[in-house]
Amino acid sequence: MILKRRKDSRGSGSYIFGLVSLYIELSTRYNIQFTNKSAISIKESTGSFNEVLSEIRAILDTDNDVSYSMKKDRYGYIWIVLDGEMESSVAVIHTLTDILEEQGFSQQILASVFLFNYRGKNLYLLYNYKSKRFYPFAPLSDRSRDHELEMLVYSIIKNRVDVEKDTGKWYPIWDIPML
Amino acid sequence: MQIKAWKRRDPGITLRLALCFFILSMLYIAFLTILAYIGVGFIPLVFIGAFLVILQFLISDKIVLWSTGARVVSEYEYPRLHAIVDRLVIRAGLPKPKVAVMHTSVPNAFATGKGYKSAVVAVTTGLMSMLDEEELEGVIAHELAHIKNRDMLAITLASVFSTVAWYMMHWGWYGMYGRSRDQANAAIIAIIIAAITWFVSFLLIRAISRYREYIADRDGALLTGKPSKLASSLRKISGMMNRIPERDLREVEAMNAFFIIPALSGDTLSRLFSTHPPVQERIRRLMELEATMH
Repeated sequence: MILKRRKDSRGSGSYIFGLVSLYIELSTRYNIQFTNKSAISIKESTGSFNEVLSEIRAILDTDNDVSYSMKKDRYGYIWIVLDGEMESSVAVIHTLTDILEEQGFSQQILASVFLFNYRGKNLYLLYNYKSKRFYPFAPLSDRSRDHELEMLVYSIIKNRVDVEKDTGKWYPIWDIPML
Repeated sequence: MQIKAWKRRDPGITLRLALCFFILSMLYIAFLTILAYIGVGFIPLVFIGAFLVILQFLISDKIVLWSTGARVVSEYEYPRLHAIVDRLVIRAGLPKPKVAVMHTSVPNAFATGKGYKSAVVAVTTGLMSMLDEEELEGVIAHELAHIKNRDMLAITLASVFSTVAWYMMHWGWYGMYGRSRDQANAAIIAIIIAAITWFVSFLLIRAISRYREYIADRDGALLTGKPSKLASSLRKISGMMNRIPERDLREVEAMNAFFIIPALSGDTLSRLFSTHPPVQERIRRLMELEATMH
């Protein structure tokens, strides 16, 4: 019971800390390099949402380890794109999700994404906040996906972090405004 | 090292096969005891059953080719296909099997034959057009692994028991008529036991078959050195490519309220009856193998 409560109190965003140990192994063992680019995507909302955004900006402005930019896509999602080491980026994303959850905007979080590079190919690890699971997404230039690379990454990470096992839920996010 | 692993027979499968035969033998001894109790000569029947099974085995490759409509093709007709087979058999240390083609758009492949010399590898035209060179190589390597491991022989031997049980079941049925009441009761028991024997052996053969598929996947993948290629062809063949969605997550989120998630799937029962393991599982194992090679 104590354990369960403790787990709950960590919040849904804390699962991304699993990436901190994972990304080193991905880099050294499989040559899948983290590009220092990550992002969190939040659906724009009304109410106190703008105040929360200013709060987020204030926090990001004071952070020396991670630089950021904010973009809005055509679906009305705000993308907070970060540039920094995995440890600091994960910490920042966790802080942001904490703030959003406290202010009652947890439903507005779409996903956080981490961009990797494998032999010149872009590979995203997506973290879905609804399912609390990761899944790989390797877009190719013509709006198709590199399934082979996705399945390879899946088999590598599946015992290390919570991964979406149902490939039918590996929804892509096209044109992530990160590059 | 990879080639060595390929040449080595899998000790696990031999053990399992032996265990299966042991269980089946026990069932048979029980069955024969019942027959002896009825007091009827069963020896002629066993001979007939064995004869039919051997006959079936001897002409099995012809039956398979005839029933699938596969035609043995020459190097001039399908040079690319022959080249792939040539490359693989040299590395596998196998004599070259006959190469056959089936004219259908359904992507599929099989291997058959009593031994190495009479073996046939067959692919459909649909398979050849769907897969690229490396993927086709993966599939053919999988089929060659079946030949290498003599899976046809293993399955036929396992079937002997189930076939004989089947004949005995019929015999028990006919034996019921025109006899005294006691003998009729005994015959009913014989039928029930034969039915159970047949059913258990049926499930066991399927379990062996599924296991041999995994082995062929692994051996085939080790032969080409590219497990991910076989995995990707399996995905293509099974149509799983469509299962990974192309639709954007943000669009899906917009209509999330309409989603209905199926709560339960009755998968387990159908798995028990299937001769092939689930494709997802085969791909998963292949990709794990791939991961260990990096």
